Amino acid sequence: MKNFDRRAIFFWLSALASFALIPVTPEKLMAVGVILGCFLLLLGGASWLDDRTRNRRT
Amino acid sequence: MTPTLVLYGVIAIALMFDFVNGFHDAANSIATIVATRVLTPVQAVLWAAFWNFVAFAVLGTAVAKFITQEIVKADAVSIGLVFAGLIGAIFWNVLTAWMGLPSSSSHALVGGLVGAAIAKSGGHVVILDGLEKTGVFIIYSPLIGLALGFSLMVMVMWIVHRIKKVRTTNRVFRSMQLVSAAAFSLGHGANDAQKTMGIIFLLLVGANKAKIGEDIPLWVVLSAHTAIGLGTMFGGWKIVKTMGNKLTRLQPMGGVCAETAAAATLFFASANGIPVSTTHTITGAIVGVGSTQRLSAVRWGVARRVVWAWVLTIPGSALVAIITFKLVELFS
Repeated sequence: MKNFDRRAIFFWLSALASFALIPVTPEKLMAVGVILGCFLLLLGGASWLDDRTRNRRT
Repeated sequence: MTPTLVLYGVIAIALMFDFVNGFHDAANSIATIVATRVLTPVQAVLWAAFWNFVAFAVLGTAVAKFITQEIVKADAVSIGLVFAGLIGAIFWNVLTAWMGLPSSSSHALVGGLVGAAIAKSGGHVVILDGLEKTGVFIIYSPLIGLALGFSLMVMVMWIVHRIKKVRTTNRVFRSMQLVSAAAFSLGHGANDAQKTMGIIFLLLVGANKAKIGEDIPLWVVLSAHTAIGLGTMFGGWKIVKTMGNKLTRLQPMGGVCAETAAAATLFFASANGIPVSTTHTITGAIVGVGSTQRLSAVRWGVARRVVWAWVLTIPGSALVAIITFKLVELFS
């Protein structure tokens, strides 16, 4: 856990915040929360993979 | 004092609020462009002020309509209510500036209006949907800036990493900053000036000189954009510490990505009538760009203060507006 990519955690927590806000978002703008949350999840995943690749190389 | 004089007096306070907003936010628009010496401070200030002003012709008045129609019910609006809301916002902005808390003028304004409305007629005159829309975008707008800033920076790094000529790359991005700074100033002018337009229009409604749902008069649109443009022009002169350098050290490439990401977020918000904080949006974008390097490149102390500003601004300004409205009632 100590060496876990902190940037990925940061993105995943941001994604969680986006998803958590969806129920209180006006209907017309709900897609913003969904798209943003999914996008941040993906960024977190990409960041984690990037970190794993770098650590393997070194 | 005649009602007309009171009306013009409060309109002047609203325009002053807009001027201070431009003055305060000038750093966001010109920080990176001055730091990278693309323009001199004087040129940068004039550039940003120009784009602040012309925003009226580009991005419509959806945010102004939101302020007039979706925060407080029309029958509760009065000059006293708008005055108390404005004072709540101004007082909160001054207090947080003194405390070094990067609060948002937009959220302070919404909080002020809500507080004054509660003091005047009770909670039932506050439109909850509008408040929800503002509330969720307090969080969404910096997150959109963050995601866009990070993605743009990664894409640009992919594109330029094979180019060995660092000088050429820097020259290209320095030129591109002219466009990205203009876009950000355009978004800033559109979103922030429209809040003042909404306030002035509410004052006209309170004085029975306009009706909710009517188009915003051209003189209101032009005066709000002139005030924010002048504020930017005068504010930029004295700003030495830049937003970019406060959060993370930005190079021309990072500057372009952060400004473009923030501008895109502001365009989206303005087109959909959502009042967002330009400061928080560019902060999110700068954090996104900075975190392409490593998270420790971001100065988290500043980001943490932004989070505190999120939590405190609406209730804080609402409380000041409640007190102001009660005082206005007492002395009128």
